[in-house]
Amino acid sequence: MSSSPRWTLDAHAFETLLAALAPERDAAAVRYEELRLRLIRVLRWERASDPESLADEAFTRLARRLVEGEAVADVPAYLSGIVRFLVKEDIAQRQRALPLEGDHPATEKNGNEIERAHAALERCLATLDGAQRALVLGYYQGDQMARIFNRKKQAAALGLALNALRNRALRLREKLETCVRGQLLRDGSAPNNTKGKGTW
Amino acid sequence: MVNAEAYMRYISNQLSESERDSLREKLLADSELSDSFADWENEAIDSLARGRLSPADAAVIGDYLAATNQQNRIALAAALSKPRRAAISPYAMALRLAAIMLLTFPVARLWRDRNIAAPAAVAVQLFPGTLRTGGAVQQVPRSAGQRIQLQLQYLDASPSGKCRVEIEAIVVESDCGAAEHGVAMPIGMASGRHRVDLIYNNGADRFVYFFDLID
Repeated sequence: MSSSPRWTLDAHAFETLLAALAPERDAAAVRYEELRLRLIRVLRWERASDPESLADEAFTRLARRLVEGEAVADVPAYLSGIVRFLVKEDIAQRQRALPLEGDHPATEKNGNEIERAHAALERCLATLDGAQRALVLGYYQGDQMARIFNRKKQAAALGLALNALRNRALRLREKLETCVRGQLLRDGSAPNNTKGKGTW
Repeated sequence: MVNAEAYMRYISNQLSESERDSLREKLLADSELSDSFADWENEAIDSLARGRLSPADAAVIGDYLAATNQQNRIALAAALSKPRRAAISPYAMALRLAAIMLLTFPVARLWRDRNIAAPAAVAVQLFPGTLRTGGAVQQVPRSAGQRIQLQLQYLDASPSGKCRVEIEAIVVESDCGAAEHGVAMPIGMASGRHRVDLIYNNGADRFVYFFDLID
């Protein structure tokens, strides 16, 4: 059986990809990171098994088309088409490898899960600076009406619009979630596989 | 219109292929929309952790988290939204600790050291989460036959409506207070460590207190 060597994203291909995102290299790098975050989220919402790796694969496929001379006028629309195929491939691959007992990983039943998450959260919070810690803790404190009230007060105190506050809190929470996930994996208290690694 | 309902339909695979393609394209092109979906997801997980989602939505989110191996996000949401002692300023904490000292220690020492009859009743302030934060468990000295009024302090929340207090098997329900909830400690309680649960918000939220009762 013969097979062609796998196409890889080399330096030239990556530069071609960046040039398609923005004329200035710095702006292109920022756009790349933003697009990658949105790709990872979309892949997670479409239940892909490894959103980070598949996001990288989507960029690799886009870069290949660009290097081969294809004109891509609308990058997000083009990436959306690639994602559709990647998700279909992922589903087919998982169905082939489906274990007899079902396709959901075993749910952790340990009653100490919250306490372990809490301990991991404390360690991860310690990696943030004081202002970041106060922002993320303040934003997610309270419930329903109290939350709305707290957030308005927080936004006013920081001189931010509510949307800007929300976006900062979102980024910090994603950072914390990645950190906590890593801590729990090191502790051996999170499922030890690569599904969704670093994305929750 | 793209809203939280669209998010739920997207993650539960209830969109047609063309709707899904259209939404995916928007989510990749529009940072604001992507952030809104991420925000709705966090809010849904936080509500799930608090038991506040409708059964239908809880099933959708639960299935999505299980299928994508993200169940630990529920534990993190619970940990993140727990009331935190650190939110109290050191000044306020110092004042509260001073109040505890004033309320408890002089009473205990008077009747122990000078053999003066202990007062019939004494008030003791308790703060939630002592064990969780690794602090010392509060010591509550008691004389024979003395009644103790527990003053359960709220932290980072202002419960309203009914507050239910569970002290081991005893359950007492009454209106929540302005800044704390008063409840009489049951007579005949054994010495040693005890746990008190203050449940509010129709059972959805609680503070947990620990103390060592010393005879």
